[in-house]
Amino acid sequence: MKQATGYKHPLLCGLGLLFVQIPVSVALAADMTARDVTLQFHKAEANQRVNLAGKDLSNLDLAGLDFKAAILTKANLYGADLSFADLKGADLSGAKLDRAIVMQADFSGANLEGATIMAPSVFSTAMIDHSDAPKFAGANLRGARIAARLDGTDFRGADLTNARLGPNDRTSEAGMAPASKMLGMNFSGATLNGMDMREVDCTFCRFTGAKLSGAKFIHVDLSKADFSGADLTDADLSESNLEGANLTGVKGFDTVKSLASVRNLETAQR
Amino acid sequence: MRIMSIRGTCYFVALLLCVFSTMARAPTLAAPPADAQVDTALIVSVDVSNSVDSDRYKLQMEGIAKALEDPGVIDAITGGPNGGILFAMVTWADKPNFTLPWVRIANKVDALAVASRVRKLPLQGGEFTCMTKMLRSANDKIVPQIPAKALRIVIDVSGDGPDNCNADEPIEKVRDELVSNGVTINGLPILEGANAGGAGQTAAIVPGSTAVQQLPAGLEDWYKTHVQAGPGSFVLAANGYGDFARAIRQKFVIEISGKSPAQRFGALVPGGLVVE
Repeated sequence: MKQATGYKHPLLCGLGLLFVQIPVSVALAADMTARDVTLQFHKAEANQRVNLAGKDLSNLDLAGLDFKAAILTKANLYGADLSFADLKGADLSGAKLDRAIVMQADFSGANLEGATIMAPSVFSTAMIDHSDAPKFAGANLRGARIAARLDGTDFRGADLTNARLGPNDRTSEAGMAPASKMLGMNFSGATLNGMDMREVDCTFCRFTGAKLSGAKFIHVDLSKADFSGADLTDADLSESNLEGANLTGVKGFDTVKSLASVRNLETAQR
Repeated sequence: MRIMSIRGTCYFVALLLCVFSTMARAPTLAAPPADAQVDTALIVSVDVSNSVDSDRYKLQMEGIAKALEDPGVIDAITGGPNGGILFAMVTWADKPNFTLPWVRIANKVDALAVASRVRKLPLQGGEFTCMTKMLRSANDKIVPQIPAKALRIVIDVSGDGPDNCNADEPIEKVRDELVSNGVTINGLPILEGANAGGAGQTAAIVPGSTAVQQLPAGLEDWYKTHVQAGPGSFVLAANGYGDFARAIRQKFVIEISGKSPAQRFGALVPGGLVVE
């Protein structure tokens, strides 16, 4: 009688069962569990910053946690659920927040210098409720890389010097929800010197009193944007749309580059 | 003959490996702390999935609030060796919401204040009944944040349906993890509509009397199999949303007093309460 050939040996079979379980858990494993992270924050003394620098916290459910200004330098938060998390004052410099869920997360005053925030989940429904947007007021986002749908996000007083906002590849967004829509973002009083914003819909964005020296707005829809009192010295507005934008009290407008390619400049309020 | 003997040994070793593998995953009970500061840390988790409309939500919140105002519950809260409990609430559907963070209740004033807060909690609903996710969140984020040592940690799970969320992990895995972290999980299935049906019959106490009321099983069996766990755990069903207030009050008294249902309610519970 012919027998099935595979897994004849019961010992090997038993050992196999044990080892089969290991790679599955290892493949998905971060350096810590959500419980470990919670315990660290909970046990921390007042004013003690938990140090999770360089930790792999990818795909962990950290929603709603108070990070107590933790040190997360170069931490990997890829796919982590940070919705409703309190990350005020946290050090996330060089951290990876790609594909993270940042709905109503509060990054106010956090250090995100050199961090990447690529294709995060921000809104709970397709209705794009601005109250779901994360907060970055007063945050340091110098040199950060942001490709996200961040309508209504609060960047007031933030430092986005040399940050880059916009999709990696505009054509890759075809057929999916675009990550380059950033309608109604608030950059009032922010420092955006040397910022590079490309291929973004920034309709109704507010830049009142912002420092935009040397900032690049390449092919950006700035319809109804408010630049009142902003400093646009040496800014580049190549192929951007300024339909109905407010340019009252703008400093250095005569130094703006590529003005000839700006669309609907004549409709802007000056 | 020799071959058979080697095979037999191999089967024995394989069996041992399987047993050890299972043991490694079986829940181990954590001992209660000797220096406890409260008697019970109670997490009340309430299903707010699609089937829970605003009326049903109100019935649940009102039931919890009334239970906290109940003199019997307040007696149980203040009558323990530490004279107080910690109370928290989670509402859950697609995701859990830690709607009422840990608060200490040590007297009637505290209890009434928490009841008032419970009544004001807005409905943050969702579509699915993601119970496994809720238990995962309780294990990972709510239990670790208990602000004082407790003699008992109890999660009170109520809902009108089984998990329908296609969770990342089996509910039993999370349940057992909670138990190994010293948590007792009690169930309050709300037997309503299609979920009220099923094999067999069970019973619950008629409020304010010694009579036993027959209830259809079904969801209750699911709770007993998949949810209930830990020392002294039990399932106490509500016969529809209208019966929720009665059930939650009774449940609170048992959970907070730390007595078994049989100790608390004598022989009145044939079938109505299933104690592990």
